Amino acid sequence: MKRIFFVLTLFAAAFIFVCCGKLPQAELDGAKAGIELAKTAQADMYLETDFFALQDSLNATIVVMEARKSKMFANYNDVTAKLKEITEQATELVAKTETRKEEIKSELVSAQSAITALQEENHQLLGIAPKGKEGKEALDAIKADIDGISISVSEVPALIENGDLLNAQTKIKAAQEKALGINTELKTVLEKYMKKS
Amino acid sequence: MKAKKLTRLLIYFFLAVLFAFSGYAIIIYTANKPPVEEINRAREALASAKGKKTGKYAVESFKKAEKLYNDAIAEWEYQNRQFFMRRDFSFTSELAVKSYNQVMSSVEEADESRMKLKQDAEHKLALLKKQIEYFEKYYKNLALGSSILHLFSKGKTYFTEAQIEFKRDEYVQSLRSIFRAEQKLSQAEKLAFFKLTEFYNNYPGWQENTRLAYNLSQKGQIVFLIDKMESSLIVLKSGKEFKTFAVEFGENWMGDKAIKGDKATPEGIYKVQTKKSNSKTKYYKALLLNYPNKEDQKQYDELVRLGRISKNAGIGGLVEIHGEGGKGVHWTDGCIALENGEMDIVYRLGTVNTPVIIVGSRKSMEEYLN
Repeated sequence: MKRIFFVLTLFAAAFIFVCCGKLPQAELDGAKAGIELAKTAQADMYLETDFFALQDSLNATIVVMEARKSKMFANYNDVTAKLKEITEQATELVAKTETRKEEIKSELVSAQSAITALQEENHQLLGIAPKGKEGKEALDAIKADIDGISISVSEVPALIENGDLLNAQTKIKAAQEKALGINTELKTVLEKYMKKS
Repeated sequence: MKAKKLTRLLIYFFLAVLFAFSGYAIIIYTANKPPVEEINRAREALASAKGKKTGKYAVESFKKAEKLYNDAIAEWEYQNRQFFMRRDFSFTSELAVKSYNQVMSSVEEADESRMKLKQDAEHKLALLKKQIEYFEKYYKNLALGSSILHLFSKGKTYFTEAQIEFKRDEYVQSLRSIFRAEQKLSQAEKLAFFKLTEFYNNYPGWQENTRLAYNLSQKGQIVFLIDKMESSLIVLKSGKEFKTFAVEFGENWMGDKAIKGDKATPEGIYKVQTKKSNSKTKYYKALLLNYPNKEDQKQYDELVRLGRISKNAGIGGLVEIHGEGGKGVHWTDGCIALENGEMDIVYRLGTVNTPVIIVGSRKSMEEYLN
């Protein structure tokens, strides 16, 4: 009789033990916090694809975890491992985002230098440019464009300061396109002028 | 013995109840499956929609889809906290299905909105391009002043930024830059149009003076007709254009000369007063005009009387047609400069009292702008 009770108790204990595998709550919170940190680091702006993939990975893991909870014999080992992996990936993503931002910043700085050099060259070319029928007015318009580029470029540091790197990129690219356009225009005119004279 | 039998009977009964309960529980458990498939379908749809930037183009609709998904997960968690026999996943499933449907409809909405914004931006960019071309054709070569040119340049910069954003499929941002470009370009165009209109206020007088120039030349005189808008000096002989030369003026050539040092070229009817060459001029050869004439003096006195100019400003003088031109820019202090070879011809043709008629334009503003 006692043996039967012992077996039943053992069975019940085993059932309870197997049924109630420990939920990886700390790992889940860690992964969620990791994703939030990545978002704060603006990974969703600068490494959008990676960020969304990681976010979906967490969502998929939560689905697996909830599905396990619904089962009688739940084992969360793989879920725990996956959540840890996501937390690590989120930390990596934060670092990657910072690197990407630094890359953009350094791209912006070198583009700024390139534009400054182009602007100097444009000023020189403007000084020796042949004067067409429209003369002063055409040169005034080019000068206004050169000034406009300088103003545009001068707005970039404030954008970088505010972390608005994407707008800074657009501004720099537009300024570079304009400066290059003026440079090409002036060089073409000068080349034609040289051939004539 | 009886008690033992009773105990055994009780155990068998307990086991029978346990097995019956287990059987019932298994039936309930297998019948009440969580909506994993529905949830995953919604999740995958959400992830795919995020990749397509649906959240940017159907903001509210996509937010609703995300909320429904989060609600489905929360409901699932809630049900999982219940005793397994009391779990009911039907609402979780309903929320997951709703979330999926909402994602799909937000994707559609975003596609539509993206397409609409793209078309809108494309259309507006084309209009801006035309606006820029129009300005460059009709206004850029006028003496507009740096403030108008800077406005125009700023507008062009915003236009370039809008193009870059458009190429990156960022239509919302592109439209924002387009709006800025529209503002600056329209402002520049409005001011340029105003300046041109102001300049053309004297058109009736120019027309009259142009007719006079032709009439005088028909009577046998050589007449020098100077057209500011065309930057040309036309030699009229027997009522016909005998020769045309490119000329340069003062940098504020758009407008009549009012005071000394305003770098404007006077408009009106003048005549050659003196012919200068060799050491008498530093500009190769020159034909001194009778500026200021009576009309100029009258106009100057009126402006002083109205307080528009200072009485100490001075009316200026020594306006000439001279050489050393051909620089291609309007550089004089108000004189009319020609390239030396062409000045030789003008100098030869001109005599003291040769009429020199200076007009803003022979064409009307409408003709100029069409």
